[in-house]
Amino acid sequence: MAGLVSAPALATPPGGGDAARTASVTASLGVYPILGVIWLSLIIFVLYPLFELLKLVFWQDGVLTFKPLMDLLEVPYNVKALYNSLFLGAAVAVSGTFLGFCFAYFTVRMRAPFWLKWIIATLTLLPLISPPFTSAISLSMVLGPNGMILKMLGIPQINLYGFWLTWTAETLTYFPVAYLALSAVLVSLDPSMEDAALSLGSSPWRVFYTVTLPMTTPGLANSLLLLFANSLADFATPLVLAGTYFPVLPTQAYLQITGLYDYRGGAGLSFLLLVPALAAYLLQHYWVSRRSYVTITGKSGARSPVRGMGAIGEGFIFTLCLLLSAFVVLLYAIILQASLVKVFGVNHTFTLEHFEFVFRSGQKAIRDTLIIAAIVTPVGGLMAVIIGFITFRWKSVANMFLDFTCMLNYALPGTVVGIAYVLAFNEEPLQLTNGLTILVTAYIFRYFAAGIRSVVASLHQIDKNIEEASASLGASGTRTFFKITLPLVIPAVLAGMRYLFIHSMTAISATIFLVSVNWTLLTTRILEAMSGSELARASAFSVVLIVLVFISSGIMAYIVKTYSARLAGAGES
Amino acid sequence: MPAELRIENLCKTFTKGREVVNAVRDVNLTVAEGELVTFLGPSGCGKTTILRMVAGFETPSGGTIHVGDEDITTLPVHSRGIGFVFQNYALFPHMSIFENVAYGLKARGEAEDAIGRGVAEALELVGLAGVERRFPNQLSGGEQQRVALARVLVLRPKLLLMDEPLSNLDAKLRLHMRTEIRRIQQHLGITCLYVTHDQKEALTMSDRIMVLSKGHVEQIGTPFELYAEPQTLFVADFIGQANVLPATIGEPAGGMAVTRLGPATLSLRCIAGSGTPAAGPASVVLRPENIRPVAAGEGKLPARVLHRFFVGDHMDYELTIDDMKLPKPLFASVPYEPGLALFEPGNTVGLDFAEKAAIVLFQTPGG
Repeated sequence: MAGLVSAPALATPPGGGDAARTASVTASLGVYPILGVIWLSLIIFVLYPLFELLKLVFWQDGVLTFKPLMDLLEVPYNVKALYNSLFLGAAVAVSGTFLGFCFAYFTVRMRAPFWLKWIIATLTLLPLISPPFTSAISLSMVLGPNGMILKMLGIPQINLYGFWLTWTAETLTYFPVAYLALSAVLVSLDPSMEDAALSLGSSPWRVFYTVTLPMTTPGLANSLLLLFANSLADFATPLVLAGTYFPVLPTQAYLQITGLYDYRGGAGLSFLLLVPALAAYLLQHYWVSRRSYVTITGKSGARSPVRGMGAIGEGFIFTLCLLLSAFVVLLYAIILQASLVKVFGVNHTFTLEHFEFVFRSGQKAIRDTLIIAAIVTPVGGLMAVIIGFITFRWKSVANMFLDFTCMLNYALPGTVVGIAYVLAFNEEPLQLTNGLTILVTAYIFRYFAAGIRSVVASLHQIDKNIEEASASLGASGTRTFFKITLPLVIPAVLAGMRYLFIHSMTAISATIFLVSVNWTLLTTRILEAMSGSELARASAFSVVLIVLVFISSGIMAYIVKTYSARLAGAGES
Repeated sequence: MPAELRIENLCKTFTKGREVVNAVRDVNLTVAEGELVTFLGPSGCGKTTILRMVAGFETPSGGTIHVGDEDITTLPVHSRGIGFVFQNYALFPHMSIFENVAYGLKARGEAEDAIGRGVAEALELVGLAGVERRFPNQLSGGEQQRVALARVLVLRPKLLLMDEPLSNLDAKLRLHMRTEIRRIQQHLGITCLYVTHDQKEALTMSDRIMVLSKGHVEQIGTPFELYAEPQTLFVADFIGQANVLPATIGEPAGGMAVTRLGPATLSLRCIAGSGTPAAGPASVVLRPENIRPVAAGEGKLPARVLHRFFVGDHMDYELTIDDMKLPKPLFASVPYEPGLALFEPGNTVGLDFAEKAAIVLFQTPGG
């Protein structure tokens, strides 16, 4: 009889109101014509190219056949490329996840001065916004034949091109992906569980491997798959570092087309690449990421201080992070130095001639790259808002398919998308090669998926009551959408646009097939310089590109941050 | 303008997978102009669902809702002119306090200067003048709730709905806001529905209370009626505390019945409307503050002390009556006074109460 005051009622009443509210909002937006336009563009720029690719591989003389694929697999070199791709992907997944975990553990869980954590976290993000072959260029100067470190160690004769250098470069390039995924998971782990384990008599190290590590398992699986997919799709790194000793699928497909003009062979090889890449993506997207999703929204309030894993483990992680960060700094410093001296490693006289070359001969590439990014970013951002809103509000089979189609070009390796685009848009009625449209659409439909994801995630976080409040204050569905919902998802849209911007500045795997005399890109200029063994020019181009991306993405990040800061902490229960 | 609210035969069913849940069953209620009626009940009793149907967030499965003469059952939310205050405030985080309060006026298309005046007045009313340019996250929880109130009141709604508006505030602030909300509601003479699971809040604020359980109405009445004359065992037990004892009654006459309560035979007052008045098994309700242990052999019933708790201003006893097979111990609460007689656990005692303090409900405990 005592304690008649019942437990607080949960704020969420049984569902049911959603349907009515949703209908009024979407109907008033005139969603059908918009959906029509979206589907039309997806059919043209996602499904049709893929269809053309599959047709070329499996359709010969009017019949369905596996012969072209079988023929490809009879060439030992191709089988080797398939095997190498998978092996490299697995190796990068393991090493990158390990490094990513160490860095995440260091920044989230260990006691260190704030500035040190900040520096290390920022350095970690450098490779994410650099053009894909930054680490490849600089590694070839450090560890290549006559490389700096090898010279220092007195072993200039060893040849590390092939697996070892490719693996090293890809690990350095992709471990930040693992770092981001895992630090989000580590942040959301409640330290009180570790406190509980400690108070039950476990040593810090035991707590680490019996509590902390098992709780991050979904995050680790997520990271492994992400890195595997990234490595599988990487085109620039193996092109620069793998050479003929270590063929992988993306470069083989590229050479098949640009070297041998064998479109069917290139399409077949990219199909071989498509299968494991899509499998890894689907596994990650529909299975693993679901398991860790809920924990990521966790907010750090007043909680007990985090515990470490014991002196030995922490010492190891600390040393590793410091050394690796120093190595990253070294790689970037070398690129900068190489761009500012006559001939790196031979004649270290200061000169600006490489930059003069970049701004003279590369002026068009700079301008084109910026124009393309400036078109891709807002258009892709707008599409991401619309599609994100539709798929979030209208749960239906058709919209699940819409969501899947939008993710398709994102999930597929760039090489596959590039080849598919070449096949689809080389002839009338959709003759787009040599033009601006093909580059812009390739980027939009490949990278707007990240924007959609972030819009949907932020829609999930908007309290339903906020929109109800707007309606009960007399605002119509349209007014609620433009005055309340849209402003609240803007930070997510901006984050998505930043992603679009960075990638349309730095990506190469898809667009290498699509550039022309009319429209070219900074990344292709870097590659040209690399293949001409003009390391200094490649470095200068890279420096210019990195600086451009750094400045513009920094500005965008700042806008997101100031805008979100105002929203933070309010409207939550 | 405040208006009367009339809810008739209101129902709401949900389907949860294959299960059909009757969240609200056949609710009837008329709220007079300027009246504050509280919906009180445990979580899941349907109180919030009723409120959300009145607001228009949920569509009723059956029944009608009238405000004044207008049938609003199917009217869209934004055309209802009904104010809703949310448990979590639901302030727009990207707008200043001024913009939040002005939101409804702008949607209505009011002129700039009218908006400015209205916002200033509304913030004045809730005691928050001068915060116009701040943002929601710069205010405390209590201040945010006042803004939420101002945002609604500025529109002079026909009806004010409040869904557990104080449950996110700390205890002290809750007490203060209770009187504050009541003052404003009476000052404006606004018709108000108020949902809470806190019985103290309901008792102190309401003109009338509607007690709900599992989607149906248990009783509607003034706070005093509910406490003094609960019509169901649920209400007796939910409002305040109650000892429920099984009894057998003779034929009721003139509101009284001869009641056999364990070894005692008493003439007790019956509660009309608590079931079919007929001789047979019934329940006797005794409030803890109306019974006290006395020396063995005295009082109306023999009892045994199980536990004793000193709470400061009163002494609580848990007691049992050996012959009656009570499902739960009896609870007695004796106000402290100097020289109060103490009984030890295990002692046999008498149980005393005034006959007028015991009431008979025509319901059997647990049935």
